[in-house]
Amino acid sequence: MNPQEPPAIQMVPIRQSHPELLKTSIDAIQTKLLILKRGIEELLFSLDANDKVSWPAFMAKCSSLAADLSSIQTALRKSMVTNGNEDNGEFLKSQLLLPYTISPEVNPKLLELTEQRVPCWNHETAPAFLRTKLDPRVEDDYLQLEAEANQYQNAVKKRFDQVSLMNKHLESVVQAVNEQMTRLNRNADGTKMTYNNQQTETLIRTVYTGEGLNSGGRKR
Amino acid sequence: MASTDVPGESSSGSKPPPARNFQVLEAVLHASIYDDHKDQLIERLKGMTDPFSSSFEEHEMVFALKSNEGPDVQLRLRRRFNLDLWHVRYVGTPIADKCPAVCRASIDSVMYTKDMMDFVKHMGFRLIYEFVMKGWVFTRGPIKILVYKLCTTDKPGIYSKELIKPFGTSHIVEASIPVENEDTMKYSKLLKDFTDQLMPLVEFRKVEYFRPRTGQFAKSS
Repeated sequence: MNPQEPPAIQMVPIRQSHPELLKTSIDAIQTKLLILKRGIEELLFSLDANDKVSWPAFMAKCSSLAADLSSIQTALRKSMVTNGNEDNGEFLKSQLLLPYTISPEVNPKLLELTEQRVPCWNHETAPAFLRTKLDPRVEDDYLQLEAEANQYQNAVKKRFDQVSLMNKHLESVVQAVNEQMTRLNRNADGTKMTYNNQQTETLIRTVYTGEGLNSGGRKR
Repeated sequence: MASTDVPGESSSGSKPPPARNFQVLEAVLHASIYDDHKDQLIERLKGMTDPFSSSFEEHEMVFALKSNEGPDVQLRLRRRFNLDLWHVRYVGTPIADKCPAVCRASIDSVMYTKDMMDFVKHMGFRLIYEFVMKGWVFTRGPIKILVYKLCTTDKPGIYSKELIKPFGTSHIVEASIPVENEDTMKYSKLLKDFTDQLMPLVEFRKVEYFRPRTGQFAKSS
């Protein structure tokens, strides 16, 4: 490891497609978040300061905070690029975020930047900040819901199979009945036969082998 | 004996049959139809076949030469009723195979001579049976369809209009196709496909007349 202090922010020469665009969008997110943070701080101070806080005022503050949060959320979802096309967050999604150095030492510059909250960027803090998975509780809920959905799907599939099997059975029954009907009908109109196979056989044999003819032996 | 024309059993009147066609391997299927329904069949065939069809009334005599080795050689002599122009035909033994149709060789020829009977008698042939057939012939390309009624006479030798009596209550229907390159399967299938179109009016079957008749009416293949 190098003996000098690692810098808080490292400039990496990676070619960006829209560096100024990225900067403006990150600045926008930052301002919004700062406003939100101030709101939460005020709320906590008010709770610390007084024993009894007026409930409606508290509620009002909470609701305004919630509104801020949701506005950040929608802005992220659409696009943080002000006056830009709404690309559903594609621009931001396409940006890459890489942790450059992870060191266990306390980094004073980082401390200063984060208002004494993040002392070092080590193997504990980095994953915590860069996590993309949901909160464990949230994740559990999510998994549970998915399992339920699958269960329902299985039940649906089973019902579907049962119904189609039933249909097949019905079809075969109907076919059998039809066959029976036509056969009966055919037997009833027995006179409809236009040929007789036995006659065919007899006649052909007569033509080709002379069976059944009473002539023969005639000499001229 | 000579030329190779085929009168009386002529194919469609639009063009003469090819001159070299006197020796063919043909695939044949047979059916029969009750006399009262034959008109339906004729109508159907008129729709399905070439425009020209003709009717015929012919007297056929079958002669056989008894031979010591193997079965007799059979020669069929046919003439237009009471006319003296004879059409000689040799029909070979059918090939016993798994074809859907009866396949056999046949050679046709025409005699212009008047003393046919003497000639044949001197060759050693004896008459074994004879009959009269009255019917129609249709063609569809190479396929030939005959619909005829078999008639006999009570008094052998005397063939006048009054003494002809029909034999059986059905007409015979015979469909044949010449087979090229000995490809019997292909041509039999072609024939079968064509004749299947006439169902359910008539049912064409491979009647194995060369096999001895079994006691019970057996369905041939």
